[in-house]
Amino acid sequence: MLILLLTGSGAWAGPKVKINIKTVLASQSKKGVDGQLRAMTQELNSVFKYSSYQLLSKERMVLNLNQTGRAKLPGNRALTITPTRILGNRVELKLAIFQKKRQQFATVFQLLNHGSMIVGGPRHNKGHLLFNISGDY
Amino acid sequence: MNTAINPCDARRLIRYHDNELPAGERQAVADHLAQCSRCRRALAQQQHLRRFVQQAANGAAARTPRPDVESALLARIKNRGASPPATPRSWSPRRWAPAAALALATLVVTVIYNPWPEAVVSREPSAIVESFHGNVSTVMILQTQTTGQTIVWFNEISEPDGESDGNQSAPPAVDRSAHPAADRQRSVGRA
Repeated sequence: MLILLLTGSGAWAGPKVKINIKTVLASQSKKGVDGQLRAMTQELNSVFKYSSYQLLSKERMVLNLNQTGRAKLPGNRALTITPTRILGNRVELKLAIFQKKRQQFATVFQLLNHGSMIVGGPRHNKGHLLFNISGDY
Repeated sequence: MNTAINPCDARRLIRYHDNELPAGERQAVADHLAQCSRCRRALAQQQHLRRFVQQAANGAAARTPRPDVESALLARIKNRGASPPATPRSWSPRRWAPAAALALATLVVTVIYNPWPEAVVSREPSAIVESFHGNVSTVMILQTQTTGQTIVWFNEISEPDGESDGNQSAPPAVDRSAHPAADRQRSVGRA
């Protein structure tokens, strides 16, 4: 009975990791910042010198440990992300970016709980794609 | 035994101010005051404090609604005056002013020069990159100045049929000249 209750309440599932992915097109050929990106771009302006930031898509996932989420990206690209373990106040994530089913880039990082990071670089429409990845558990 | 008398004795000066010294000693203090500017300043402070207390007492007395209470209080004060003086003068605001000013200055200097604000500025990175690999030419790991947000930037190797334009040296638009924070990148490497 106790086992049934615990299983039913999800006590054995481990922590759920909530992940948000924003795909942004940054370019110097246009001007203007998407209103939803204002806080993020203020921070990025200390590092980059783009004149335009455009939000292309938003994805939200709730993943168990070792469960992989997938997000479609522009230009026949896709992103997969897998939380692998919790380390103190950080969650370890495996991230991979594919183009036409071929893996272009992969990284493993420990993200602060309620923190966010940016992965960027792929060229797209005379600009670059940035992926803002935030997570909490 | 010959006991040396300190000419700048503060207690004696207070007794002089309160007309409590015998005539001979009073004259000695007066002679000393003529040549000691420090004691003259101390005496002036004492007089100023006395005036301040008297004015405050007068104001309070003027506001006292019951003369019987006032006279009872004055009688009690008079009785206390007969006992050996304690040292309420040590709480003179003027006496404590230099110490307070020194403490304040120390606090200001501490706030300006201590390393705490620097510790706040150098926040821990939002992400710690353990590894990376892929079909890329270079990878940079940066950290923003204000929130310590981690940025992983990679330059794709151009694909003949891909979207990459082959311009591998194309900037990730890192503005190194304008923002030294960009130079605080954790690593630059080839995957």
